Amino acid sequence: MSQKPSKKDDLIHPLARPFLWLEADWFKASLVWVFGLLTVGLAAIDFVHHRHEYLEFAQMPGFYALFGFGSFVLAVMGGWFIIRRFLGRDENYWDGEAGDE
Amino acid sequence: MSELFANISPALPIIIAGLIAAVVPNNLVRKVLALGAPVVAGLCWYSLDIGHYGVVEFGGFTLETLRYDGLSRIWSLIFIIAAFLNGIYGLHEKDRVTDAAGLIYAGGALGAVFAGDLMTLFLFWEVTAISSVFLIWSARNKAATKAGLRYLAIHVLSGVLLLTGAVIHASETGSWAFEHIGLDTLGGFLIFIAFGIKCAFPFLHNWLQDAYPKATVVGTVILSAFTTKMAVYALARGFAGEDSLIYIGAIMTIFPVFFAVVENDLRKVLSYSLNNQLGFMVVGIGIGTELAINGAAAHAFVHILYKGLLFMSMGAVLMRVGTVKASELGGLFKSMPATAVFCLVGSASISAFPLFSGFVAKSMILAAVAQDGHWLVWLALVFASAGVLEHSGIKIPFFAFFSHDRGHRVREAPVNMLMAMGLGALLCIYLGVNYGKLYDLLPFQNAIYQPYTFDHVVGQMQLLIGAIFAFALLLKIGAYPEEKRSVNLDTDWLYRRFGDGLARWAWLMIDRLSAAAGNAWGRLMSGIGGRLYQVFSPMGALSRDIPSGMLAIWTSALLAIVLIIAYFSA
Repeated sequence: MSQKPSKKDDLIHPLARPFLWLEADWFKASLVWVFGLLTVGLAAIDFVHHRHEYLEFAQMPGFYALFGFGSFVLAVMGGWFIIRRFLGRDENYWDGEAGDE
Repeated sequence: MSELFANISPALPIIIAGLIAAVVPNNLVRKVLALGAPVVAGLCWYSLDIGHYGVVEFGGFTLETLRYDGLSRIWSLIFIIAAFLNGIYGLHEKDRVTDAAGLIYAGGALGAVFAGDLMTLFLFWEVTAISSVFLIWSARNKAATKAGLRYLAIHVLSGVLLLTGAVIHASETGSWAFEHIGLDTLGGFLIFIAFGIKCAFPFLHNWLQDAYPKATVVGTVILSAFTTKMAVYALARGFAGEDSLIYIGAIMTIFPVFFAVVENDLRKVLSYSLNNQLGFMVVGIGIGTELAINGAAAHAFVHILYKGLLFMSMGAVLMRVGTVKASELGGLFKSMPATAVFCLVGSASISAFPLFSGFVAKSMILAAVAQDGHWLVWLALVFASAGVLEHSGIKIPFFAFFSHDRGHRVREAPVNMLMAMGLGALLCIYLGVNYGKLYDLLPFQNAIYQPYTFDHVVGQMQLLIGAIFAFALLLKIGAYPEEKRSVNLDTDWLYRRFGDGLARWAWLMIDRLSAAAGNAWGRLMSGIGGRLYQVFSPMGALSRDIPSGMLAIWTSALLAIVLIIAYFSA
């Protein structure tokens, strides 16, 4: 079971200490730029190297990058605006059975 | 040495170990059985040659209990590996019910994979249903008890349909052999639905998300390995190339993505994710080409490993923190760094990053779909691949181990759990790099596939990095839904609310009606009894066509009664 919540550094696992920068603001802020540049870079490869695909439309430069981006956004928005809005209920809807504790 | 284990079904030592574990109070002995039985089963598996063994005469049936061929070979091996890893994972737990049920369940699934006829398949089908429910009940709380009853009712229904379908199929074809069945006959259709229930087809799926998250920490890990993959195997054996499976599978890959996005219980997220992964396998079976069947088999193999790994990591979190609600978690990498790393390996594998096992398996199915010209289904699968990254690749590790630090300072998972997760993670990477070992196990050795082409690696990285970029962007602009304590209605509403109310109303009406019509009802029943005797008795009409028709019909009737009792008890 969980100990009393505390943020004292001495309770952090020794193996995790070298990786505390994962929580730094500069790291979180840089993620969108890093992955944005990586996406553009990977898509750019298609302009210098023709990908061979079984389906012709998938050979369009940057197809997978665009499709991956669009699919992710669609999945999140679909879940948020359809499932949560229309099918979301209070946690105790099933006679309080949702708890796992 | 090998002769000692020759021609012995690997299911046998595991089931026997489970039966012994059920009566042995000593925890150490049970743990030796939990680890030793899969090892012995592995030796039996290693000693087997392709062929048919274990023919037993029983009740007028010829049961073929050990069919060892290309398809059963790969499925049985991964079931044995899963049983061994589960044994390690559960070493810390002192629960006789879980120990016994876990072993009998794994043995039952192995027995079903080796079944050469439909009656043997049915027997092991029921063994898995009945033994696995104890893994849910072992949680010993009201929610788990009710969910277990619902689970049992649905799985007994699957058994009833399988047996009824098998009887009709046998009467129509004159054979009980478990070969290609097809959908041309009524019996085939009933068997298809029976398999579909266990495989969590759309609208038949919700037992999975209802029951798995309510089982014990160890129980959920065990459950994740066997039932659904046993059903995938049964579909591959009986319905390969069935077109409807292509579309059923495509829907299975898509709809769980949306539910998983807003689900707060991370073990339930993984249950939706499991449903989504099954969809890929079902599509592969529907395509039915050698490459597609190989893809389904390879995907089932690696899926059991990485899905088990993800459930193990969330089990460790549940054990240490006391919850797997995303809204209550975050920052756990500071307390459980090894568990976090193993979870990330599972996430990378299920997302199909190059050098991880999912990459070399799932792509075979996508290639087979594209080769077959199903462009719309192919697009659905690519969309679902991005969806997998969302819920299992990002959401699970991000909200559990990173995101907002909730201040939980807990101990790392127990050593045995870390060992099981470590071995699982090692296999995920090993099979992703040394994929030839996996491909050597596939049923069709002529269907050659090369996963590591420049085009494939670049395309897959584009898809994954593009999706991660979308996540980072949505998070930055505040357009990613926050995790909140809630539940989402699914098809279980139909039988937990609507069906329950309808059944209670109908029961009340029948009760009043029967009281009013007492004597008339009795006479009617007496008349029906006589008619039933004429049809089902040893001299009856049904028994004339099938030697053991009486036995099968009565088994169906008894199972149906169990089903009704379990339903109303829930």
